[in-house]
Amino acid sequence: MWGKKVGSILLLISLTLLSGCWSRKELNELAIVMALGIDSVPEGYEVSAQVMNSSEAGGPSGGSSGSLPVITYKAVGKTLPDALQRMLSTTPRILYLSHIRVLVFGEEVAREGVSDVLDFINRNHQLRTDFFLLVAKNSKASEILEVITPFEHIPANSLYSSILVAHKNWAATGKVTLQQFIIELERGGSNPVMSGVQLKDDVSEGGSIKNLQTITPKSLIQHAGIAVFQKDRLVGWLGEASSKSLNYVLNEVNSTTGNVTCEGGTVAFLITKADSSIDIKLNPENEPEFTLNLKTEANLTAIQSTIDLSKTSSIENIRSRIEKKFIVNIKRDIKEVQEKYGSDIFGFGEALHRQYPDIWRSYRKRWEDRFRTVKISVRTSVTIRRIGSVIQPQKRELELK
Amino acid sequence: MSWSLLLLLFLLIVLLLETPQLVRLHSLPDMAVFYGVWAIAIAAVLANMTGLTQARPLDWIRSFMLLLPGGSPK
Amino acid sequence: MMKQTKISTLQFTILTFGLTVGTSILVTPSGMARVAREDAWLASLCSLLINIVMVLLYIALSRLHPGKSLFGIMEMVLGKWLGKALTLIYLFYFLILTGTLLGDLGFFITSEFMPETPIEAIQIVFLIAAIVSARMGIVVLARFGELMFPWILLLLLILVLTLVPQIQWNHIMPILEDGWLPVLTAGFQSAMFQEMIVLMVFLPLVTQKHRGERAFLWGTSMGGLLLSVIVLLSVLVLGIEQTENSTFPAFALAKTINIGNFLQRVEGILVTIWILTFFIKISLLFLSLLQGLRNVFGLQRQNHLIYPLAVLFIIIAWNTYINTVYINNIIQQVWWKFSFLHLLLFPLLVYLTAVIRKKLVPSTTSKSRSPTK
Repeated sequence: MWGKKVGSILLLISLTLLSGCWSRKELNELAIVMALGIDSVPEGYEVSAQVMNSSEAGGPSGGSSGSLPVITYKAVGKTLPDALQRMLSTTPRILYLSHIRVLVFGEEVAREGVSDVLDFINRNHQLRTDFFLLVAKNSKASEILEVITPFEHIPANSLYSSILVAHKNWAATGKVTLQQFIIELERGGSNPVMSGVQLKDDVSEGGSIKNLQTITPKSLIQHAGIAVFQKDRLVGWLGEASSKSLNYVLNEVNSTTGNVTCEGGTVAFLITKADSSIDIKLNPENEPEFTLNLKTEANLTAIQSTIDLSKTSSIENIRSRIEKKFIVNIKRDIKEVQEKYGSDIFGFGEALHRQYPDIWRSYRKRWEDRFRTVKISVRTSVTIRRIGSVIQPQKRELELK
Repeated sequence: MSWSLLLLLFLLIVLLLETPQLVRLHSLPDMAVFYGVWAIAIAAVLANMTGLTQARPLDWIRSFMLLLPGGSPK
Repeated sequence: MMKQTKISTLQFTILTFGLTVGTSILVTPSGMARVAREDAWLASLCSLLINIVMVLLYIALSRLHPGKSLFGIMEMVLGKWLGKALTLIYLFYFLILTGTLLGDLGFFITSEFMPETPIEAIQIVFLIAAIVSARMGIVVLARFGELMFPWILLLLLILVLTLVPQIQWNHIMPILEDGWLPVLTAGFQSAMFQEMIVLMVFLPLVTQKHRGERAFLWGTSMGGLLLSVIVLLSVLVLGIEQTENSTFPAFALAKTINIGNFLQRVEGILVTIWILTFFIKISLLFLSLLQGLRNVFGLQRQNHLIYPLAVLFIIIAWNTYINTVYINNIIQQVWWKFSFLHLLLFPLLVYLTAVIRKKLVPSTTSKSRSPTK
């Protein structure tokens, strides 16, 4: 009886201490990779891994021994596992991929097609699905990973946070996780997108501490709109305005700003709520016609004119101008994507699939072509809620004095 | 580390430990079944060690199912 | 030898639940998503209904010869030799099933968690636990189930609730795009993976017969409902493309849990659910194998056989789980039909035979009050 008790306690202790021992990875044997960059080279792929330098990353800025919080390693291989393996010839530790924040594709690789890279990422059990996918505009991914950022010690974290913040407040960038990308890629009725990044200003000083030692950093990582994909190939870029339109259609706008002209000047507004949905109607020839319904709420944030805001007609005026602007812009941007790229990144095909599955069946095969000619109209309704802490615009106050 | 050898060792130990208890039972069915299953286990381990591909039960099932009507794969 | 062999109704419910959920929870969504696409959740509800029908059949069967386990009934209905022969067929089925499940577990752990650990080590450790459980007998297992059940429920609740924010409702649209046929096919095939018949071996051990039958149905329904919820969540959160392409969709589901960037990467804890249900299922199979052998050969003690059987399990595990592609192929094409024989066809035949016999020879029915052999 007593012997059994001792035996079971011993067993329990060894359970807690020994489990997983065979597969143990000590923390000081691991090189934690925060960001991966993939570029295309003649031999295959060049992989850059931004690894956290644990001794420096925790401390205050600069680092006590002058070294940097991250190190970027590069290696070339025919396949990704090949390249990652080869990296071990320069890293002192095993690479641990579970903590990746961003995965950056060089523009060249994105244009060639990202399927092969995605296969590796999906198959690998260490990699999860919650990191962001980015394309480096007009540059190689490794260049993006070689820039030190102010504020956040680890550039990968900085990139991650900036995407979150930008997506929430500006809506001219994408926020695409691996999971999202794959869902949109494999679905018949949509094409995926990725956020774009580029380097601003002088790249040469970007990789050293000197980048942080001036009030304006010499080199910054900047968001560069949205990369449009046709299946798994990059086909083009959306600028700031078109990216916003895309996000409106995809119902991904949290809040963003815009401006509209009115008599005497410009009015800036802040969108606080945006909901969109896609309606489909069948015309007499049984062809689908899409209508995008957009409902938004806005606050006025800057009135750069002399309009009289005490009158409701002024608000009405501004409201209808904003509505018109939405309709014109979004229609224009959708049309541009339709004609230029023929890639349904908006998900109209998928909406058709959901609402009229039988019709979708006949459209599915050549949706890319049909998408170019399909009719899409936009309907919006804007509600202006608040105008801020003062009523009349400054300019108007001045004029009346 | 050869796992099959470990299994063989285990089976041997089991034989040695259980036989006395079995003999004490004076029950022929018990002994027969035990030795029978034990023998099958040994045979299975040995077959596994030699890498014989015949010993794949799922293949047997598949061939068996093909004999039945409607058993062929869709 | 047979000390106290009574199981309470709650314990039986939990055992049924564990068996139903067992291994299916980890792998069924992908097969269903492949066949039924967005309607996979409807398919799993169909599967639940079919399972309930199966259980009703089993209950009807048990009522013909009350107090007898599955093997006892087969002998009574078909006569001694035919009954024993059928029992052996079932035992073969259980044997292969257990080996395959063991292989499945090892595969899951090594491919997702501990890739450097040899698969054999994991299987052996698990097997040791199963051996201990088999030695202790069904009552201890039932108590274990009772003990673990609140934890399983708690973890399941966490799994489901934390995934709610990530649901995208339009993933299940369009509904019934291809009609009912894929739904029914998927449902039927998937229903063949819940081997409730194993519980027929233990049904007589429940203290009150009527409540035992109700527990049987309850456990099956709860288990089936859970499976449907998991399939539904899988489709809603991951989407069908990822669900059908994943080797372990429920695990992929757990990986996506992310509440406010704070509660994330918790899939390790949730694996506990699966290990526990796996364990219950494998232990039940082990015990029913022992019981069956005992019945067929009239043995006095069954514990000796535990060890060589365990070795057989692991050998089968090595020989069935050669690689994922092989096993997926076989499961999709062959296994459900093989299961169908044992889970539906044979019991139905036995039942019909029993009914016919009763009609022909009415006097035999009054004799069977002897306890389980």
